[in-house]
Amino acid sequence: MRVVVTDAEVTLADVLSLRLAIEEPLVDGTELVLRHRATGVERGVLLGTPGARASEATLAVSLAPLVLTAGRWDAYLRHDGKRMRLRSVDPGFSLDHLDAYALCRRTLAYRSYRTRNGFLALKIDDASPSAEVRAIWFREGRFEVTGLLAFTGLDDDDCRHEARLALHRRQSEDFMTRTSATVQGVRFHAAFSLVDVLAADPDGAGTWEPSLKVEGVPTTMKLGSRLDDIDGKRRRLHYPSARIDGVPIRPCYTADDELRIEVGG
Amino acid sequence: MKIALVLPSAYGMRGDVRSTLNLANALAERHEVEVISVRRPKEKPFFPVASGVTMRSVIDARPGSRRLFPRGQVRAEVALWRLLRGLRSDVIITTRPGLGVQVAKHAPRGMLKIAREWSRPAVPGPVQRFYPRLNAVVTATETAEAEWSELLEDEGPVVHTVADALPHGPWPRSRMDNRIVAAGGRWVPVKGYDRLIRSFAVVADKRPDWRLRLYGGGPEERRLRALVRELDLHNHVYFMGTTPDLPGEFAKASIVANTSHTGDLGMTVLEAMGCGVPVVAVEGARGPMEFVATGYNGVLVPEVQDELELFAAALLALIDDERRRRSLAAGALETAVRHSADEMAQQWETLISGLR
Repeated sequence: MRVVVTDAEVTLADVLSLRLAIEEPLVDGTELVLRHRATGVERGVLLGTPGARASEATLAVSLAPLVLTAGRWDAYLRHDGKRMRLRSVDPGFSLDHLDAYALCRRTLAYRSYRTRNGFLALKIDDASPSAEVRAIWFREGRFEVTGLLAFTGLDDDDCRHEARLALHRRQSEDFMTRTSATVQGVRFHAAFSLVDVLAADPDGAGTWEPSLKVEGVPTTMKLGSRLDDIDGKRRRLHYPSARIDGVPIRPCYTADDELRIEVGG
Repeated sequence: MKIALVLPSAYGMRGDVRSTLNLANALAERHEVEVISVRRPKEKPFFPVASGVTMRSVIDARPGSRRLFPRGQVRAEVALWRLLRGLRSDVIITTRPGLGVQVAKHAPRGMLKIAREWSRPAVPGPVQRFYPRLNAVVTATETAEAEWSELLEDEGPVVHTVADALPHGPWPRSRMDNRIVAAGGRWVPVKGYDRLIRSFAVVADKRPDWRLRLYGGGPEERRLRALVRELDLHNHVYFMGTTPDLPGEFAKASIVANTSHTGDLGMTVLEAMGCGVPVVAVEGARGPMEFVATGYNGVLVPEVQDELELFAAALLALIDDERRRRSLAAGALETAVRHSADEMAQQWETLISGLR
């Protein structure tokens, strides 16, 4: 039996919606099995009895009752103990949909995707409020960052919120600098003077960690870039550096895609 | 039938390697196929090789390998000569003029000798002298066929055309809903990525929510990154690196751009079409010119002086017209069907049986 997923998406209500192109109708008793790639834990969902013969089938599986944990889950169809991995021709997500998905407050973020060898899989991450960086500039001696807030539950409207951007010195809580930020709906913009950063750091070298505190969101949000399919931005995106009094200042990402400001060599 | 395909290296990331391995994989379903790689610089090939294909190499240049040449040999030509003399194949297909000359000189007489060519040879002398000993020259495009017919004149073997093959499906399919322009290939000067980045600067100025993703790798990386810094495009251009699943990545994009001027092959253009993504390419490039038709499956930008602006204008026009993008995508899919590996393998089989 040849089954190919032609459309896959995790909807805003955490329902995995699939469209399958099938050669024969799915047999009664077929299960959709999700298997955790690292631990091998399996979760199965019995699929409904198909009606007329058709070359297409649509499935909608609610993911919350399956109690899936964070990690990557591969999708299979199982019938009579025989398991077949689901091939997919759909990328599994669109970037705009990921932004819309991140508008709600969530603890787990589900995303369907196509693996590099062409199978359907689910990526599940622990979600907490975060600030998603979209653009960075050095302008007129200032460092500017814009982006959008993810998983905060704030509405995407024109409403303004009080916000402050803080820079912490890594490995030491003593040094920090604060500046006000603009948050409108879920979009944020913050800027701070590079001279202030240098003045707040007596050693003149080190890594600073930016974070955003927004009125109405209980936790402090770290700045990062995780709401797309690009892992490893440290290697893929190189930001330019600015020189203030001969000291180079350069934004970069960590291995898990959080933003850092590197000061000094 | 036993078929041997000879490549300078079957392990690298290049369009001709991709095309040859696709053909080998398709032929391996009905025939005994062997891929002979003159150099073996790595443990595993970059592109997938079907289980039915046997891999062999002459020079073992893997890191840590104790012996570069087969036992008792010190010269590449001699090692290749010995391999060719001992080869028991019905058909041998070479993929470079240099290898074609060696095969013409040394391969056993009963063997059917075919040269697969994409572009004009750099040194035509030996080709004109030894290619008449071959049974056929098979070019990938009709332009190349005309060039080779002219080069070999009346004495040479018959020149045929069989297009490059795309691997078996199912192919990923773009939804055309991400604001991404993608490009893939080796980052070498001839591919003209600097022109693409400069054109994209115009696009990013007018449509700042669009991103350019560059897939591949190569010696140009530092220069291209410096250019991105200079043009202030660091938020817009992503250097994605090499990926074993280029079609999967193209399927996330809405447009694939190709600024190569001398592209003889355009395998990435074909792969983009397989994913249903329209292509914007330069008219001078021979590979894309053969199968990109403006208004059907992509846009060809004329090769003139202010080409960068024209290229940017073509990108912007496609970016702004989603309906046109979708209709071009449908055309691209139709083009890709004509390049399917089964179809191409059949053409090769007909050609081989006609020569025997």
